[in-house]
Amino acid sequence: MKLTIKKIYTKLFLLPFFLLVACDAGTGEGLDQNGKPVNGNNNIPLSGQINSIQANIFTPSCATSGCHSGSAPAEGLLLTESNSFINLINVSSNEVPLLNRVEPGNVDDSYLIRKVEGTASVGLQMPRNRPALSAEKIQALRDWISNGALGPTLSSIQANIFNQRCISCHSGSNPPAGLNLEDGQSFSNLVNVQRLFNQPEIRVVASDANASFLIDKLENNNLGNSRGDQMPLNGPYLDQDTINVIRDWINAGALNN
Amino acid sequence: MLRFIYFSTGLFFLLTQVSFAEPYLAARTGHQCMACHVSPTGGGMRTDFGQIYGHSLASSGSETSAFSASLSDSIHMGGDFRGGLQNSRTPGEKNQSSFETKRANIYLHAQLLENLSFYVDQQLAPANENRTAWVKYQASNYYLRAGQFFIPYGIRLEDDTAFIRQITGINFATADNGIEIGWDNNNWSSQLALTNGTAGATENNEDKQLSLRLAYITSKWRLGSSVNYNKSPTATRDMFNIFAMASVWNMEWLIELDQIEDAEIQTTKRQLLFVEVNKEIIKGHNLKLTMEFDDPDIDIDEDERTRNSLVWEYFPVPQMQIRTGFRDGEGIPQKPEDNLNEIFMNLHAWF
Repeated sequence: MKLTIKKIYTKLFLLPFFLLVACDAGTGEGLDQNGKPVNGNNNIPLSGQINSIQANIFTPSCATSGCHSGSAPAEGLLLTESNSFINLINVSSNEVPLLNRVEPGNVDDSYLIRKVEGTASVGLQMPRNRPALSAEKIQALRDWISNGALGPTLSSIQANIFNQRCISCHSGSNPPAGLNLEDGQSFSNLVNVQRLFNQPEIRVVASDANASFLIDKLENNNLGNSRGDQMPLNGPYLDQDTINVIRDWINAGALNN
Repeated sequence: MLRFIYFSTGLFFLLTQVSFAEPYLAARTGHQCMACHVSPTGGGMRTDFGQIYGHSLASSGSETSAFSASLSDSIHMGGDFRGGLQNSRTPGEKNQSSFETKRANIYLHAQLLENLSFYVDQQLAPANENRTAWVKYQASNYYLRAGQFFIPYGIRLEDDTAFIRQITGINFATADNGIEIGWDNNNWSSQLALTNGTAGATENNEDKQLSLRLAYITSKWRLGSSVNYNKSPTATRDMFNIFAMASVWNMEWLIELDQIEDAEIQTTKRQLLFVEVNKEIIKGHNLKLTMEFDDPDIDIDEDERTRNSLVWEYFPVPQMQIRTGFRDGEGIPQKPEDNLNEIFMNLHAWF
């Protein structure tokens, strides 16, 4: 068969078509409900706790690329892990500034609820261009807000992170860096406490995870020299989902709860 | 099954070789966006040429309308209505079926001076909000635009839910405030925009978004590329794409390949591919196939998703279009929302 330039040209344009027909969706093997590798802390069942709401609602339905995530989040509302809490609680909404996005204890006046239920006076029902949230997911949001819209508790972090990964070193009468993370000691050793040697940095700055030295140590942010090594020392290091729980606790005020 | 239908339909197109949006119309005619739209980068109010061309699409193309939206020689109005019935099915959840007014807009364009124009695009439903409002100064092949406008980046698809528009965050819902410089000369078209980078929301920092789009346009094909950089206090996004549109075998092909790099707490790279094929079966009837691919994180295996659509577009009379079709989303089973299937019938009317 004689191949003319035109035939070659047209066949080239068909390549992407057949390429895409051959493209398959992923099997999801080894991934959690948000498409991230399973690490033991994901696949959290739906409940009225912030960790569950983040994993089951905000991350899959709201913090999708081009919506409430990234460098240009819709309405300036970031709902990614470690950002959702500080962007919601007692923050006035862009569309109706008289209403807070989440008013702890006041479900019906929380703008978030109006947006997902489609009763807001301004703008579209969320998630935009997607089916509405299921009744179960909306109820989880309602439960979270009616119970005070709490962030992660220190007691849960103590049990699941500090006790599991930190106190094998950071315990006793002479802990490394003078930091004791045992149950009953962690709060007074962390929150608004300068790190060792009276360096100006604060281990945990309540409501500001980015300014907290603890986060730098866990995420390996600008360490070295006098700031030491990433923790847990010599690894394995905490995955980002786990660190984000600590971030949420700090951003929620780093309460002794 | 759907894959087989696509394959068969594609094969039909290939074998029959019958000679023979919306960007596909630009591919069909070889014109730039500004030939049919008041906005130099497309979308929104149509020019006189765009109105006339819209008439010619209808199966009863000889029918003309006595309606005029011109308030004077220099002030014109326009509008769009899109709405319809939609049925969505997400695995594990109840079917949702609803009548929706997707978008109703009214436009006003005033030619203040020979080189100075003013434009407003106001959305009336389902929510009353300003989409774009800008002033443009035209000088020779250059223009300067200031105000709120759609960011120049890639192919300006009407479907905001297409991966390449939803995931890039550059679509008809995310007009931004800033300035834009455009240059068009013979076969070249380019735009450079500097905006807040907040998708129209209030700016609260000094960081900005920069977007550049460059395309080479001929009567049969066009090839282009875009880059976009957007920084905020919490994240940085770099995007790059190449896109092509061509009329081959009397079918209009649209292809766009995007790479997105997001640096937030962690850095992720994402890749998107979009292919659309249009064929005018008979006058007034267009068949559209779209195939989309999304790799959310190129460092993670088995997380990819696809979305395929088959749409029939019918232009029964001038200034009206009926679209019906279905979309099949496939993603990992752990994310039911990525496995959404939709059937829809929409009415689109404009003036």
